[in-house]
Amino acid sequence: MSPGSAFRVSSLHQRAGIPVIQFAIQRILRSLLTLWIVFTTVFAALRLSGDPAFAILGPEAGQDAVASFRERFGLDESILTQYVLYMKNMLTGDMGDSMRYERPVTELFLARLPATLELGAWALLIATIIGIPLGIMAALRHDTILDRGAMLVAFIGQSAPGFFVAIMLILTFSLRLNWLPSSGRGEPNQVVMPAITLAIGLLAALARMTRSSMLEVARADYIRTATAKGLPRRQVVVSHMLRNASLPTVTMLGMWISGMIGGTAITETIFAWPGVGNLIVQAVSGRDYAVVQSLVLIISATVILTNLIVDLAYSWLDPRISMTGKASE
Amino acid sequence: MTSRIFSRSLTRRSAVLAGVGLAASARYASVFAQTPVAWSGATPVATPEGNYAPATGVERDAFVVGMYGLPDNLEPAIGESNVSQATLLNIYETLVRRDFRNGGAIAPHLATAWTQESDTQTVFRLREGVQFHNGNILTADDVVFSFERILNSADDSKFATVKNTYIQTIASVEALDDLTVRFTTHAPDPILLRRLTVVPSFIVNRAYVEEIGDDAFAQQPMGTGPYTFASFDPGVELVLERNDNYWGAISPARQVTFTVIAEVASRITALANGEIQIATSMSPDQVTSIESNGRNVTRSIGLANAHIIGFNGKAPGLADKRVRQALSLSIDRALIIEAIFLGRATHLRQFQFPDYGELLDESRPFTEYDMDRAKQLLDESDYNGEKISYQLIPGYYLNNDQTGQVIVESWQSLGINAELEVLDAGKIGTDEMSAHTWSCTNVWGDPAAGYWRQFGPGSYAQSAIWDAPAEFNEIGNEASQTLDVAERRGLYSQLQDIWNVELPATDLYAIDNIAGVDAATNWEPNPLHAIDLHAFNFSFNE
Repeated sequence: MSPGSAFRVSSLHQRAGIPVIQFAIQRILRSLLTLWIVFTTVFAALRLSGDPAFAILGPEAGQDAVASFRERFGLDESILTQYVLYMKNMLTGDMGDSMRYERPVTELFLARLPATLELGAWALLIATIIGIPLGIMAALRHDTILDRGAMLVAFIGQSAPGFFVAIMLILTFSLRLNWLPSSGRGEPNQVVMPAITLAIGLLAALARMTRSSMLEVARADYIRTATAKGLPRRQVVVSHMLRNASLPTVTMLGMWISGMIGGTAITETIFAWPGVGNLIVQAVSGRDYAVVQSLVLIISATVILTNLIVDLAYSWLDPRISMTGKASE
Repeated sequence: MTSRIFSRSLTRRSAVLAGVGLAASARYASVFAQTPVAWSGATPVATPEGNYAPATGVERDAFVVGMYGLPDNLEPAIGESNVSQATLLNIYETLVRRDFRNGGAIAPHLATAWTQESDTQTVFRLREGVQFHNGNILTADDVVFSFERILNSADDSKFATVKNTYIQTIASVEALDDLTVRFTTHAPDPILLRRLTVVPSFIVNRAYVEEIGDDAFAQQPMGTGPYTFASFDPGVELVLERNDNYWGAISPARQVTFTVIAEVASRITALANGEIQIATSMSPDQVTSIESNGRNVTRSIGLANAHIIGFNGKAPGLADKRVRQALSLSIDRALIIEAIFLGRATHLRQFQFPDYGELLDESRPFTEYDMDRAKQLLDESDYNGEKISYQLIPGYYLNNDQTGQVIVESWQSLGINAELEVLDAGKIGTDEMSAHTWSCTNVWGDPAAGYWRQFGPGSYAQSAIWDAPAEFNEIGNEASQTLDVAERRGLYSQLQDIWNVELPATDLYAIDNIAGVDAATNWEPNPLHAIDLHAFNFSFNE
């Protein structure tokens, strides 16, 4: 078992004897509790940050206009009433209207989501098809110049902040070579630099994680046995080493995907990519309560849901792990 | 029939004006000195005066403007923000406009001529044959509707702020015939024409707005301008298509996209890379970088907006006006302009904008820096070491962070217990205000738009931070209802004297509006942030 998966496997093992349904209910309840804590924290933080009526209407707005604005968005109610009303609306799927754009938050979110998903998908593809093979190569050529070179690249990639990578890419491919556009969405070439910027950290992390997992697995008895049985090297690597080494990689991918919607803000802002991250930045600076609250809740729900899916994926990847607790290690 | 009757009346009026040597009183003539007083009757002006982009015949399919933001919606009546003013005038138009290449003079637009019937009544002749984007013909009824939807709105409606701060002097608007409309003001209004050049005076089509309703109209705008609405993605882009049925010269770009590129560096990069052709809101230190590739240039004009410091007279330490005077005197504006703005900002003469025209008192000194006098005033004041915060929203105004640091240092040198405080946008307008960054837009090119609009009766300033002396309001009211220029000049001079003592705010500087532009584009920026793409301000060399 790789070190990366040790904690999760043992924690699952502690559930030995817990029926699947009970486990699922526990997880769902815990998820709902987390969501409620997130929602309440964001609600309170936004209310402490000042009155959006002034931020949106400006200081010269008349008292009647301010009162009308507050009434329209329920800001004239007590904090407790606002909280209960908003909670009730969220439970019925009503995220409310943007105070700034006067459009439903759901409409704004859905309009921006495709851009973020597109960017995330490209970044994931780039990171996966380069990062994992790089890690495998480094592991298989352990302690060679290839290994050291790959890890140096990965180390640099993981250390470089996204905004720095973005600027370097823009300087090189937009300004110097004039190959790629630096902003916007619509043309295929516009996604290249944002996707690379978003992918580079994940790519590096995947390469390092894959390498270390592969090296860990390579020392296992069953790999020695498989090799001794005369299995082709490709089969040993792909069927035995890679599959068993993939648990921490899948965990990492799951965490990255779950954080992607909210984690693209910097990249989207630099490249003027019209996604959800960009919308969050605009909503926070514009004190758009409904948008910020709803988006934070969506992002939290995504993280929680993805974690659940990743947990479930473990049982498929490692048959020793069973939700029923019948571990077969 | 009505038209003929009116036509006769106009002919008589024109004859009187021409023959008798301006039968209208001398004071009318002085008020409307920048306007064609003589009625031009039914002769439409094909294109507005003041063309300054040479017509080259070169066209482009697409033109992209990179901006830091877009309007929240496209309702013209409430488009006060910089980004609204930047975009909306390409879709909607006003009766008259200001020609900024001609000192901001009033020029014909949807109205070809106008005349003043009395102290409170002005009649406008509309341009004939102007089509809205849906094909409807512009009539006086549309003008009436455009104003009545604001004037008759409730005080808690979204139109309330503009109704009470921009066109509150207008009592009624009535159609005399299909192409003639009369404006009546509650009292003589020396700046009526100027009010009609900006928000909320855009002309909309009654039939269209009544059909789709105000809310839908704010998302699907329709006017008479050189560009028609194509699509709007809030916070992302606004796409316009050329109006090939436009009444004036046709603009040279078939499609214009206003796209949000929030980061300044990203806008410069996009310009350098040819992705956009105009990059708005550039700072002086970026000029060299923008122009370095030889393909782009910068164009600039002094903004009709002054950065100011608002003093909350109800906050600790700021109640004594001598403290406020001392704070103002301790700021070396010339140094800030030179060091931080590289000279690309204007030092005002005691809160007077340079485009006040005949009302500008050039004998007044530039707002002073005198540390010795500041110290003396502070010694004489009731100041007792209270903490005075200089509040700013980071990045809200160009270079306000750097300027804030200089100002706080100056105040500390003066002996003030001063500190820089980052102010959250949500705290604006609350009783937590102290000394804070603010700005004042001279939206009409007149003192009435300066401290009077922002600090007069009913303003946020008088309700929240300043107990104005009665004399200030009396003189200001008189000035706002006086047609005679010399008289107004005298009244505003008195108002300025009171201002200098009271100082509910102090002016810092008016910055330049700098834009990076593709060198092949003939286009000039505007003091009110407008990205004006009318053909008279927009053409291509290649």
